[in-house]
Amino acid sequence: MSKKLTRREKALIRSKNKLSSPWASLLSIVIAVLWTVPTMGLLVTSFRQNRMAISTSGWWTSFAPSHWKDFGLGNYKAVLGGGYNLGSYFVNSFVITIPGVVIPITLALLAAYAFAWCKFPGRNVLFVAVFTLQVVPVQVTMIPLLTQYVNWGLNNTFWVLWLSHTIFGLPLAIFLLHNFMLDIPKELIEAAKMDGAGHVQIFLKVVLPLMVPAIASFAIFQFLWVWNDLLVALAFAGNTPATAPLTSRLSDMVGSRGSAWYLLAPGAFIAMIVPVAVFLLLQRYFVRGMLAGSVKG
Amino acid sequence: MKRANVYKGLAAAISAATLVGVAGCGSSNSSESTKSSGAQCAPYKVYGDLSGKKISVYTIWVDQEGDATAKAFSQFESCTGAKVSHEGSRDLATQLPVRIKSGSAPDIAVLPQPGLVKSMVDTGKVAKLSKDALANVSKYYSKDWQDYASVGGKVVSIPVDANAKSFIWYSPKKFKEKGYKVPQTWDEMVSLTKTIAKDNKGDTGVKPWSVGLEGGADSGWPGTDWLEDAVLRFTDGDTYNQWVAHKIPFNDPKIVAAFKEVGKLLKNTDYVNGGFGDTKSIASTSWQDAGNSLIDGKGYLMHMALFYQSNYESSNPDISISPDGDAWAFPMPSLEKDKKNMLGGGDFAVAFSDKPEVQKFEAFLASPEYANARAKAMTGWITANTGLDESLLKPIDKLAYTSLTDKNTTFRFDGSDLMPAEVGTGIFFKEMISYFGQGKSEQDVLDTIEKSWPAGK
Repeated sequence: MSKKLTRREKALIRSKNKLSSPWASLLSIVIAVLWTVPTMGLLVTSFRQNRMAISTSGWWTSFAPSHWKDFGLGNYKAVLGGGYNLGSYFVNSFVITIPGVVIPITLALLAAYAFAWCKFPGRNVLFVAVFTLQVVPVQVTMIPLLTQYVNWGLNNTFWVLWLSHTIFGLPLAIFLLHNFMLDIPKELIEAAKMDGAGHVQIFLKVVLPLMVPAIASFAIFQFLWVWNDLLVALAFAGNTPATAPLTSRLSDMVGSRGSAWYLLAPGAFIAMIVPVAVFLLLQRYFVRGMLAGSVKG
Repeated sequence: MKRANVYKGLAAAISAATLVGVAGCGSSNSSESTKSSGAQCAPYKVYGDLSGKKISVYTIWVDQEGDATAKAFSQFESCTGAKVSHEGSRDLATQLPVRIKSGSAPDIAVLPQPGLVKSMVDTGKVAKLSKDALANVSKYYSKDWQDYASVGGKVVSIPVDANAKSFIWYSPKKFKEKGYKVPQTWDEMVSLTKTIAKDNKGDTGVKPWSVGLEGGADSGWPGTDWLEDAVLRFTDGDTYNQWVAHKIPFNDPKIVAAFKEVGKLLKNTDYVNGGFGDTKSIASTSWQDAGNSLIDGKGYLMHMALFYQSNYESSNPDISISPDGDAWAFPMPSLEKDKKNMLGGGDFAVAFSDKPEVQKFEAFLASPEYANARAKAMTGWITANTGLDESLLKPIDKLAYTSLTDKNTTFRFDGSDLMPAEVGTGIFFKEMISYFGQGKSEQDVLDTIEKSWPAGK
């Protein structure tokens, strides 16, 4: 099977060589370091318990041996033990986030399948319409949506958050999953049809297994967005212990006049644990998902 | 194999979420309060039996202050049987209009500025206060405070708390060490400034004044307090009112003159900025940090409201706040010794419902019972309610409370809170930052604000 390389394959090889040159590696290391420095600073600050020192000197000065006594777990103890009740907010965040990820992905998979493999009149117009919905900013929808929720008697429950995150997540989800789905070779679907499979069977037995990387990569996006959301939660579900997520507890932790600012750094790192864990768990799918469809000649 | 695992994981996650979700929904309204009686409930008899009634309160108080507020309501709940649900948010000013427009306004909302009260009244959704509440407001609040709670000459809100702003923080220990005396007049304050500057001439890091204006989205407000205090002292209470109400131009020559007095202190690099740098550093120093240099001995004086005590407490619990401790405050002096001027602010409760239980609750908020319950729940809090039991206050709070209720003190409400929001929390803040950060002149700053004053307001 020795055939001439196509233009695209040549280009790929060229770019691969370029990307793996030592200079490129050096550059990417420099960028990575620059990118991580602020987070490093936050991490260092979260362990500095001398509050006077934090407010009068930069975190980088704290590495001098004379400042080592400033380090300790005091801030973390204050966050975890100070009656902030983070546990129940963690639970709230999970209760909001898991359906907030599962529902849009489920709906988007079905919609994307229909857009990709079912022929029906107005398909393209409808798809463009869904796609363009992405440009609607969340803020614009707040008052009309909340009015609707109030009429339905749903406000201040988890339902509004699940619904809202589904609404805001769907356009991008459908668009992305649809593009991934188009990359599945037509022959596979046709073969399944020849074997007598209906749409439901094709979807469950052929398409879904092939979509796992794509689903995982979108799940990461959606998970991060919902987990880190503060605006939607504040506007629709209110800031009460019954429904408020971790983010709103975190933003309140500084106190009414912002006097407990030193709790923010440790609080941020505690809240970060879950998204980082999710990312690490799903990252191999993530990389595969990003590349899916882009390397087929 | 792998695929099956993913499915299993998903299924487990969904079912876990559903279970927790159901549990979460179920627990939210399970806590029916039980009604109790007894001697403690005697003052609450007037509110009658409100068993099973629900009242929602939306405030700007979060965290410890939020808990203290909820605690202050607990006696009302247990004596009347009503259930008061408190929700605090630092984003109230942006969230409340959304809720009102979408029809989910709370029964009671506590607003941080009279200007916001007015804009809420303008929405037409604010309910009239009950007769009992109005009676309490006129019984327990001074005429001045009734005015601040009014829109168009009618009391529409309840001043539920207050703060006193015209104070200068200092370190009594350091003062004693150096032999400095608390100034009684503005001139004495200026000469104290000169003395401190002279004593520390060799040391470039130590300056008499520490000033910080940075505060996130609200950066600049400590600067507006400086100017307002100067206007109140170098003109008079009436001119101050006219200036705030824009009956005289913002850049009136009298105001410019008062502002220049501030400039004499804060634009002099020999006098500022203790612990932080030069005049420009005032704009970038956070107001929460400014007081730290008083403890380090890098600064000696800081103009700041008394609520700053919580910053000291949280920055280092060992700092003692007492008249001979590490930190204390004296009222910013006026030109003459026997004249007292005080700026202050407060939060105002308005009702969005005229349900009977809400009307009773309004009366409660204006009563000494609420004031005392709140004072007991957490210190660092005062109110303008004259029915407050002073013995509940710690010394620093008592200092603030007396300055609010003292009949010989000319009290004025923080002007930036009374001005239209575009100015009061917008350009006024920004221009105070440029005054220091970009070295703008007093005249320039006032001219810019005057030009941007919204027409018809």
